[in-house]
Amino acid sequence: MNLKPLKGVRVLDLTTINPFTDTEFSDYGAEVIKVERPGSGDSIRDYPPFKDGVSVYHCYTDRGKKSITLNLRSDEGKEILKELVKNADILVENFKAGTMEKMGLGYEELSRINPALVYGKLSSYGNTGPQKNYIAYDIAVQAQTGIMDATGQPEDEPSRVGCYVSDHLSCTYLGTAIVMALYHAKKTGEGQRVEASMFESVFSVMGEKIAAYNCGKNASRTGHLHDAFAPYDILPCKDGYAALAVTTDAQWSAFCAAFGLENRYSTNDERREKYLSTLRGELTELFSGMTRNEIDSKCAAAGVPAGPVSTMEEAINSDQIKARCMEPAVTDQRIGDVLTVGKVIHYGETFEADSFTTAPLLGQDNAEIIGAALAGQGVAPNDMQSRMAELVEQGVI
Amino acid sequence: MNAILNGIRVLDLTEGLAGAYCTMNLGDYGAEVIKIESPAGDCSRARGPMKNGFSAFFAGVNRNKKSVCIDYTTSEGRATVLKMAAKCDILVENFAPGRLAELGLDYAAVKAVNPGIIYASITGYGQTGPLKDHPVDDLVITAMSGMMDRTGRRGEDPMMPGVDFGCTYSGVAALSGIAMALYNKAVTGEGTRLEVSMLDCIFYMLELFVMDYSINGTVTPKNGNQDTEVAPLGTFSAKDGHVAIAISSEGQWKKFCGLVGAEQLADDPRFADNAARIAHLDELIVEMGKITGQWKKDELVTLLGENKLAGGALKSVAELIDDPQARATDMIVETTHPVMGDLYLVGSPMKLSKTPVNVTALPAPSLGQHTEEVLKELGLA
Repeated sequence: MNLKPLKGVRVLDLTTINPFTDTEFSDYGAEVIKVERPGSGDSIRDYPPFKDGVSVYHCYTDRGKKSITLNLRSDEGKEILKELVKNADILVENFKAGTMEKMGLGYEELSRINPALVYGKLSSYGNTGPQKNYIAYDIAVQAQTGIMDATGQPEDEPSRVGCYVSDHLSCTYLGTAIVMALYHAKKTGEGQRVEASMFESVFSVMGEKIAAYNCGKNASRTGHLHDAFAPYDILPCKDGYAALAVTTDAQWSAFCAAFGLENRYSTNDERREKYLSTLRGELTELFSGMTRNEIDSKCAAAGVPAGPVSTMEEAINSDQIKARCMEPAVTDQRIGDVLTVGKVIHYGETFEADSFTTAPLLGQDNAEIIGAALAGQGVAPNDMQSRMAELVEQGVI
Repeated sequence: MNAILNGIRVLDLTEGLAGAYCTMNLGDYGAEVIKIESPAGDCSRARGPMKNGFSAFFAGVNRNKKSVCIDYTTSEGRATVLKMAAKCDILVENFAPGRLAELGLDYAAVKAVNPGIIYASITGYGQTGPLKDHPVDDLVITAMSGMMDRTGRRGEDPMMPGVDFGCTYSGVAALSGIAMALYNKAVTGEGTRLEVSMLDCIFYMLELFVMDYSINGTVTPKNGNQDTEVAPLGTFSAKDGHVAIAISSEGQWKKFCGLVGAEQLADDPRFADNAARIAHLDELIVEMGKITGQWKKDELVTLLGENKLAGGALKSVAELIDDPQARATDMIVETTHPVMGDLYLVGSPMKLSKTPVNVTALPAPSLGQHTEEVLKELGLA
C-alpha cells in the first residue's frame, strides 16, 4: 500500500521560485494547481541546471502538478482566482509582504469566499520585527541564525553549510503547519492563515546551542569536535576521511577491543580532556594505514558509529541511497528521464518504490481548471471557447 | 484552549534528539505526550552542560511532555506499554530496526490492540537497505550523505555542519508525516505506519547536486562561503565581524555599488556582468572587502534590507539571544523551569493565526514525574 495521505486535497500554488512545500503536497497525493504568470510563467522554469533548454530544477519541483496561467493583477484574473478558491482546500504563496492584500486577495477576503480555506504564507523573516520586509537568501539566513558561527574550525572563518537548508526547513515546516490547520478545518470547518519563514525555521534548529547558553556557555564552532563527547571527529585515513562518533564509555571500550588499543581513558571526561593533546594523534596514526571501509566494517562489527566521509558523487552512487529510492527518475514530457530526489516519508507496512509524473507545460491545464471556474461564473458551454480566447487575447490567462 | 491536538494522546518511545524533536512539536500543538523512559532515563538527561544538575539540552527538546518510567525490557513492563499504546492515537519511536519486534511493541503488535494507531518510526538509515543495522550517529550520517563534502573551503577538508541537521530535519519530516496521517485518518478513519530516516533526510536537502550530477556526470566542487555560479554571493568582512551578501542580478549589482558609494566597481570591466564577476572572483572578493570593511555589520544589513537587497549579519549565539528579529518573532522565549530556574527556549517557526502553538505549556519533566498520574488516568494503576 503506497498511501497518498493528501488524496482529494486541492491546493492553489501561487509560489514563485521557492516551491518545496507544494512539491511535497504533490508527492503525497494532493492535486496541486500551479498558478503562473501568462507568457513567462514562474521563474523556476528558468532556473539551472538545464537539459535541452528545460530547467531540470523545475522538472523536479513541479513534478505531478497541474499548471494554469492567470494574471492576478487583472480584474478578470482576480475573479477567476476567487472562483477557484471556492473549491480549494489550501492556498500557498510567497509574495512580498502585503502583495496579496494589495491585490484584494488577502486572507480576509478569501476566507469570506471559503471559510475553511487554509492560507499558507512562506516569508523571509516572519510577519513582524524590524526585518519583516527584508528579502532573504539562504546564506544570509545561515549567517543571521548562528548556523555559520557554529560551523568551521575555531581558528578559521565561520562556514556556511553547503546546501539550501533554509529553503528545505521552511518549506517542510510550512507544509506541516498547513496540514495541521487542514486537519483542524476538517474537524471544525474553520480555516486560518498560517505562516513560516526562512529565518524562524533555521533558528529553530539552534536549540542545542541555546541550551548551552543557558548554562553560561557561548557555544561557537568546534570544527568536527563535539562539545560533549570524545572521540567525535573526522580523521584522515588511507583513502580520505573517516567519521568516528563515540558517545558512550561502552562504545569506547568496544572500539579499543576491536582495534587492539589499550583502554587508557575509560571515561568520556578523560577522553575529552586528552583528546587534542594525545588521543587525536594516536587515532590519526592508527587510521593512517587503514581504508575508510576497513574502519567502517570494524566499527560496525563492534557497534561503534563510524563511516566514510563520502564525496557527493560517492553518496549519489551509494547502495543505501539507491536502496531507499532516493534518486527516482521523473519522466518529463519534454526531455525524458531526469534524476531527482525521492520522498523522505514512507507510508505502509512494506517499503515500496514511488513513481512520479511529469511537470506541466505552462498553462497546460487551463481548459480543465479555468474552464470549470468560468462555468462556475455562469459561462455557458457553447460560449466557453470564445470566452477563453477572449481571456487569452486580453492577457488574463 | 484552542490547540489543534487537544485530546490527542502520543506514546513517545524515543530517546535522543530526532524523536524528541518530533514529539516536542506534537506537544507544542497541544497533544498529551507521554514519554516512556527506562529506569536509566533518556540518554539526553546526562548530556551536558547542566544547570542545577538538569540537562539544558534535554529541557529544550522535552518541553510539553510527561515522563513515565517503565522498564520495558521486563514482560510486565512491556505489557503495560502495550496497554498504554492501546489508548493512544499516535506512537513515535526511534529504536534500531527490529528492536521493537523483539520487545513485542512493533507495528503489528500495536495494531492488533489499536487498529487506528498512527505509528511513526525514525531511524538513522531506514528500515530497509544494506546499512539498516549500521550504528547511528548524526556525524556519521552527515559524513555519508555528502553534506560534509559540500561544506568548507575549496581544496580543504570536508567540514561538519555545526548543528545536527540529520536529527532535526528527520524530526520535522516525521512530524509532517504524522500531520498528513492524522488528516488522512480524519477522512478515511484509517491509521497507518510511517517511517523516515536521517540519511534520506539529509540527502534530500542536497537535491541540486543530484540533478547536477545526472546532467553533467560531475558535481561542481564546493567553494566555501562563495557561490560557484553567482557573484557577489558570499560572506565578506565587516568592521565588527562578517556579513553575508547575495547579489543575484545586474540591477542589484548596480544598486549595491551605488548604495555603498562604489560606482567605480559597477563600471569596472572585470565586474561588468555576472560571468565577468565569477571569472574575477578573487579580485572581486578583495574589492568587496574594502567596501564592507568600512561598515558595521548591522548597519550594512539595514542599508541592504531597506533597499531590497539580501544581506545578513553573522551572529554568535550570545548575539542571537537579544537579536531584535528573533525576539519579535518569538524564536527566543523566556520561561522558568522548576529545577533550572530561568531558561531560554527556542520558539516554534510554525505560526498559526487561530490556533497558535504553545511552547511553555509544560516544563521538561523529571524522570518518572508523571508515572502515577498517567497510569491512573489510563486506568492502568
